[in-house]
Amino acid sequence: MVRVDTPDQIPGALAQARSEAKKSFGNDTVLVEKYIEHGRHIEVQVVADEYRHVVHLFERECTLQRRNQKIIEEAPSTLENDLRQEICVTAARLMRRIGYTSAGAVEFLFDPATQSFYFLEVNTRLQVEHGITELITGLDIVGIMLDVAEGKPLPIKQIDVVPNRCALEVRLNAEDPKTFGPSFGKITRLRTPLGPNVRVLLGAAEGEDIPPYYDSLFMLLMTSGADRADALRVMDRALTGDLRIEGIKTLAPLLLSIIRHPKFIAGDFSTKFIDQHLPELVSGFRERTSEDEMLRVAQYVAEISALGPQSWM
Amino acid sequence: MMGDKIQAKEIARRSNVPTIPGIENVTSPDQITDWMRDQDIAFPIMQGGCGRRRQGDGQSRYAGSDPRRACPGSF
Repeated sequence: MVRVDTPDQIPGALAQARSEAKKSFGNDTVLVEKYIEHGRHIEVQVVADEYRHVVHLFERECTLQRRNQKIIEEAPSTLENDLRQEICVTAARLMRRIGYTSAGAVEFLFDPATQSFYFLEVNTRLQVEHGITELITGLDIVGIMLDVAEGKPLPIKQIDVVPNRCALEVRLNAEDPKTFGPSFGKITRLRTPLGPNVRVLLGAAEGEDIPPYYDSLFMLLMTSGADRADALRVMDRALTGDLRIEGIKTLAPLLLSIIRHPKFIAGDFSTKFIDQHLPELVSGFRERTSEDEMLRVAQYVAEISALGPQSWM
Repeated sequence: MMGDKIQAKEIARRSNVPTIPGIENVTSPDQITDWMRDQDIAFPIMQGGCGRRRQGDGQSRYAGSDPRRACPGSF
């Protein structure tokens, strides 16, 4: 897609778009659309059976992206309730209209300036971020997909789906968090967060290699809480206190900087957030290693030696 | 059917699902300027093809050297 900002850019951009379309799709038909500045990416999870029962499982916020690829998702979004209801019902209506079965997601672009949402596309598959919808609804989406594939009716009605939590997912990609260049090699240390309200999906283990040939995503870290602030607090603890990955670089420092950013906490962000705030986000990095841990132990021992046993000891 | 962006938008419109204001089958700059004037559309705009990849090219998703760039937000 080519962005056009002024009338004189139209002919050149059209020629470029037609050429790319011809190479990619076999014809040079071009689509021109209004460009939505500061758009947000909202998608609605839907499940449907072959008896025309369609149920939405509410929406996910997938706005935080780098290079057009999602790295943080949350459910539900920070939309107002009436807008949430409208977008979810709209998605279910579309899936019913096309006779869809199984799990799928209807993607929308939300324009905060006009409070309008626009259809983008339907993802006819299980998405990476389905786990946070499972966390807020308590439903097993993969199980529902398998049941529907066997010809069973949906086990739920719309009224049964009542999200009662907020959930957050971050994608731990094996990448340099400053440049997004791939980082591959042996994982020399890997400790994953544990505890209540934490879910980890892992594609590699300590001692294994991250090869340069595949997608850089190797770990999904999800947290949930009674509200968004709670889910964020658990995620902060998971990324700072418990997570240890050594031998390769990951996006962890960037993810932590993002979830601590005042604008992210306030729900004030668009798909351009990372591009707009990258220097500021990078300046907040504090990567911890085994060396840091040894230093902390040494400081602790020095304090005890200097000050004597503390009152709590 | 939903893999073709133009067709998908048409189905969405028929289902009363709002779509981004746009114009399809564009081949000349005049079509764009006429559309912007008639519909009172301001800059910026986006141009591009986003259809179904040709058969037999060994890939199943969207086109372009990097599908993530061809269809942002799909992954």
